[in-house]
Amino acid sequence: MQKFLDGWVGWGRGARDGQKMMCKGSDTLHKSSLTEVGAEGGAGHYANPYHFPVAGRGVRGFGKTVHAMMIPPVIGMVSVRPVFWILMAICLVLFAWRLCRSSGPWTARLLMAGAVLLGLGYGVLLPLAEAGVIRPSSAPGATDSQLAWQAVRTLVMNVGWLLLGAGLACHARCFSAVCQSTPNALPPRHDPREPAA
Amino acid sequence: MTHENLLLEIAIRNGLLLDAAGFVGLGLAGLAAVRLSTRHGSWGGTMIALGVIGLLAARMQVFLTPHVLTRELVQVIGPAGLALSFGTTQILLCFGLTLVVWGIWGHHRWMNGETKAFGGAIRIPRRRASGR
Repeated sequence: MQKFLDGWVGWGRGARDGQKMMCKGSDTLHKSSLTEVGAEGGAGHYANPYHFPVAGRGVRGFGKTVHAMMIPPVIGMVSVRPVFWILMAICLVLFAWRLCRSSGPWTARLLMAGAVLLGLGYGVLLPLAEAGVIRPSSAPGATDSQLAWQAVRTLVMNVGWLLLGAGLACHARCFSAVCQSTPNALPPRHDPREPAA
Repeated sequence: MTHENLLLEIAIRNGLLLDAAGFVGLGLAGLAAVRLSTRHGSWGGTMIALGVIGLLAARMQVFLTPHVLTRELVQVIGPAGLALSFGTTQILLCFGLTLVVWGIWGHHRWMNGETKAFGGAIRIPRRRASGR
């Protein structure tokens, strides 16, 4: 990451810096050299929301002004995206809850654990990081707080996907050849396109 | 501030273990989605699979960009290409999550017999599995 930051500041884990550069409707993005980043203590790309990964001022042929026309219009809705994440998190937890009713107990536990973790990540942690309330960072100069938030965010998102994926795989009986669960009490499969016998 | 904790170095600062967990989880979700869609013929499973593909592509882009996007390449592609690169990641992340959530909803509705595939426009042949 440090090698990367050397020439290319502002692309964080989870790529949330790319949207930072487009917020507040600024046409002219921040023109900063690498020395300014170093002066900000190594985590400057989080401290400065307008940081755009432009190499130093001496680079010829690369304009430092990114016009708003160059940004795809869907991405421009920066303020909408946290709301969208929160909605998706709530929907994910609700739909996983519905899906749990037709699955076994351990499958339901895996699914709900994954959905709750992902809901926490998408519904709380990512919007908070977007709003700048928490500043997760694993850059070399990061403080303990930044490192801890980075640990929490990474853990929640990745373990959430792991648990949800494992739950879905158990729900789809991908592991039935390896570990056959006890004969379940679920009703037999029913194809909705065929009339009930 | 010195980090002498090996677990902290490996798991958090480099992020290898947890990122691998995320990749494995997404792969399992994709496998389950393909299995659901072939077994039950549900369109929700197909949407989950598409969303998982999008999320995996976004993750691959995030992890590969530091090694691919060098200073010279940045000068070649220019600001428009740079904005496109950021935008592609964001689109893939948002749409992947949307498709996964929508697919879970759709699969549940499909299994309850509340929907048809694409509004009944197509009919997916049922594949009969041996036993449940």
